[in-house]
Amino acid sequence: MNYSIDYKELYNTSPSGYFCSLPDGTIVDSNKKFLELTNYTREEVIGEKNFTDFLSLGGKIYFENVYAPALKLSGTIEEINFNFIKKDGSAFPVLINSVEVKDTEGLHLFTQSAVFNISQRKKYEQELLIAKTKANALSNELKEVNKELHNRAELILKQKLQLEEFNHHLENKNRQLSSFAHIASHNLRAPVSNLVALKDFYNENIDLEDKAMLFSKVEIVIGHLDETLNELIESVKIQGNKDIIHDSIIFEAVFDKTLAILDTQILVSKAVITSDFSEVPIASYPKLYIESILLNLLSNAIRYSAPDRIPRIHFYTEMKNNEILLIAKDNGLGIDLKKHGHKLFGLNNTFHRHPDSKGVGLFMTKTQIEAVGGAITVESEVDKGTTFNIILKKNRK
Amino acid sequence: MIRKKPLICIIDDDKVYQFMLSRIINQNNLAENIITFSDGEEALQYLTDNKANNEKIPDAIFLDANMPIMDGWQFIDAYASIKTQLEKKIVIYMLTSSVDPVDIERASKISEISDYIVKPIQLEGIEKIFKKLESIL
Repeated sequence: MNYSIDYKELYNTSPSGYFCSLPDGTIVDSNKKFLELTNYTREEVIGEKNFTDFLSLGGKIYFENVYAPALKLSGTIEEINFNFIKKDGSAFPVLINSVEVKDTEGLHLFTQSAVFNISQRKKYEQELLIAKTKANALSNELKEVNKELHNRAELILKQKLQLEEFNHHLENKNRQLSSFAHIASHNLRAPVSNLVALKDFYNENIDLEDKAMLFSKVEIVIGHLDETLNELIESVKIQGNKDIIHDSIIFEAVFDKTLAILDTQILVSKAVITSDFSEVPIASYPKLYIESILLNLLSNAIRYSAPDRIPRIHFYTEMKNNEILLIAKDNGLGIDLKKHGHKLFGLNNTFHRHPDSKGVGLFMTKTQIEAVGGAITVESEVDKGTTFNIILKKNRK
Repeated sequence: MIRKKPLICIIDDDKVYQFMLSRIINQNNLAENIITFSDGEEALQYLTDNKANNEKIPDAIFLDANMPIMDGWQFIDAYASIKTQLEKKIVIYMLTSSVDPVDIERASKISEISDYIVKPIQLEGIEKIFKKLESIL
């Protein structure tokens, strides 16, 4: 194929504008594309216009301070961004590549420049910029929302903890109420119904001696009622006293005090009582409660010792799972937990035929322990002995 | 023909209630004799000791639900395991001061318990029970 290239045609139909200017900026030649871009006729440009005529004031300053010195320094310059002003005064963005053409002696003859219309690209850039600004704004907004969500999550967590605390408290109260209802239904109703029946007997009777006898029965029942009520009031006081003051207690000291109180009983029982509080010697606990708890447990252990052997009683403390344990062990009569386990800590429940059995001690002990957030459990074998395990304060899981 | 009056057993730790129930029964001449116990274990011991002696075995037991040492429910359990050794069939009435529906439900499920009597004591109720008792003896 025979193929000849018309360089003049190529120059004129090139997709970029070209022009040629003298060192002073006067344009001495341009292609058609340049004329199309600027909307001028050839006659209006060639020999008439200077490069800087196409520039705005800002463009002219940039031309003088950046473009011209840079071109002079290296003889070539690429991708300089100007706004070119058309004949009608409107402007469009261009990129200029320029190269100095010199003679053999290095004298600057003229400058050739290529002009690329970047209107579309500028539009994209603008759009990108807008999009970027929007994205930034959105990102900031998201950050704000995220922060807000984080705050709310924290608040919800806090509320959840509060609810859990409250729930725990309610559960406790519920248990207390149900135990209270049980006590009211069993321990209070019995003496009251006796009183009602005795009153009927009394009213129907005319024999004075018989009336006096009936009244003595009334007195007995009133005594029961008074006792039960006092125990209930005491337990309600303990349960209501949620924020009781905690003291720094020394187990050894409280135990010594308990031993002193029970001095006579210990002597009579010939019990061998030992203790070891070295693992946890001190704790923060209501002093009144720990005194009452130790007194109850020790007096129980002495009272229910087996008659055929020397009572051996050991109290000690332990640290387990970050909880303080107080343990009371004896080799006494023991309790049949299968039979009595469910009511061991109930009010007025006794399991031994013992004249001092009143069944109040363990009920009060349990009430006190639970009021402070602890727990009491029991292990026992009949005729082997009993162990009470007290967790002073249960861990919150 | 003169019908023989029943031998009654009261098991209740509440001495005042024991006294009142005995008094009503005696005043109305409803029983041949009354034996009383303060808890289930004492009564069970008595039944075991006298299982060969039919005259000493009560016809009816008034059994309190809530007692120390061995309560009414535990007594029923223990009684169920020895009743085949007894010639006499004992009618058992569960007595309680409890109005707890759980207790009533529990009593109705135990075949050994003939009836459930809520305290306080009332002459009418007692008379009704003894009429019914006479008819089955």
